[in-house]
Amino acid sequence: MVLSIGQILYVILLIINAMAVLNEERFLARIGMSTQNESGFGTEGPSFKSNIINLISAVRTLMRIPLIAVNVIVIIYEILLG
Amino acid sequence: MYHQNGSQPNYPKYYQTPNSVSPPPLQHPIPTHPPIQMQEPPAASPSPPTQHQIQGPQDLWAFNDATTQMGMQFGRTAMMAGSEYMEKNINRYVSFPALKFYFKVNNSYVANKIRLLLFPWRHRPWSRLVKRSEQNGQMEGFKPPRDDINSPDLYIPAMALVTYVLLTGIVAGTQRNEFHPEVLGVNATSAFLLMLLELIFIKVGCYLLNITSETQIFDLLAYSGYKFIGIIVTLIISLIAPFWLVVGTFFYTAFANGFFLLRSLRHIMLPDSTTTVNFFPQRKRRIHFLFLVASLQVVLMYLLIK
Repeated sequence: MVLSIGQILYVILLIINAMAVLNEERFLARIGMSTQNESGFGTEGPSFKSNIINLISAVRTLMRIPLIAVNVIVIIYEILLG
Repeated sequence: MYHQNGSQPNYPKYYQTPNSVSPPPLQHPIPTHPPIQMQEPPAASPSPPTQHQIQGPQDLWAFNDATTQMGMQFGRTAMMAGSEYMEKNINRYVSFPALKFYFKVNNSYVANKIRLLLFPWRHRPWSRLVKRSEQNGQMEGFKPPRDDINSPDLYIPAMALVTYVLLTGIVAGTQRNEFHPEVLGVNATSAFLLMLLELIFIKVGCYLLNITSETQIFDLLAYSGYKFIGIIVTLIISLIAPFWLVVGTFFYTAFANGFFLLRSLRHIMLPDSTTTVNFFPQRKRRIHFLFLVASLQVVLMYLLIK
């Protein structure tokens, strides 16, 4: 089993990319994971699904600008040296 | 001002008898007038250097000592400030007191823990002992590993990781005859990254399942590091035993480790589950997650042994 740091970084970057690329209206709302139709609060705290929704929306808001820069760097690196 | 006519210049007193009264300038953290007086003559008269150097050594010494002293003091304060700053910054990221807790082990603990890791089937109870304060008996954390065999420690994982890296080198050298120093680094990196991935997986799972116990991240690190004990045993067996025995050992240690994790992580993910059965709404999901983590050990151990 051989893992390298570069691979792990790529994996993490790609996963974050995959979360950031999900479109709010076209995709998430259609499968019922939009932040808008928050169903009523239960007594037992946030559920599994609402946690996922929160995670995705947080990644989409927070990582958008950094992801652009990181992706550009990785693409240039891959073109030149990959 | 100094002149070259040979008359005694009006030095301060301690410059004339440097041996007897030289300490005072040394003690000065900030040199006051003597160095300033020394630096003036060249500016005043263009050709004093020769004369100055003839009777100079003592003066230069005194001057140097004062400067050195000041420099030393300055350096010391700078270093103190620097180390203080470092400590503060390191403590922000890694809390050393919390880390020290995990290395409070002794011989009997390590031996018992390794035995427990290899034969976890009959052990009981699995809950950690709580440390209570002397005055009011309130809970103030858990007992260190020295006093409690169920407490996670980081000593065994650290040592086991190092041993694992060296053993993979031996295995690569003796069995496949392809040892190269690079092998050690590659294996160490892979082991580290696999542990990191497992940690991320467990953390994300805990977030998604609202497991908000005050579990330290070091606890999870320790629990994910215990699998190296089983890996080491399997690797040692693979050096001396036939293949079917290796496979048997691997499955035995993997299941032992999974069982150990199942029992140990249970009180993290399902705290007090015996008394309040229906309190956790996601109890079923949490149990599934627990099984997933435990069975992930088998996969990870296979990847690490391969």
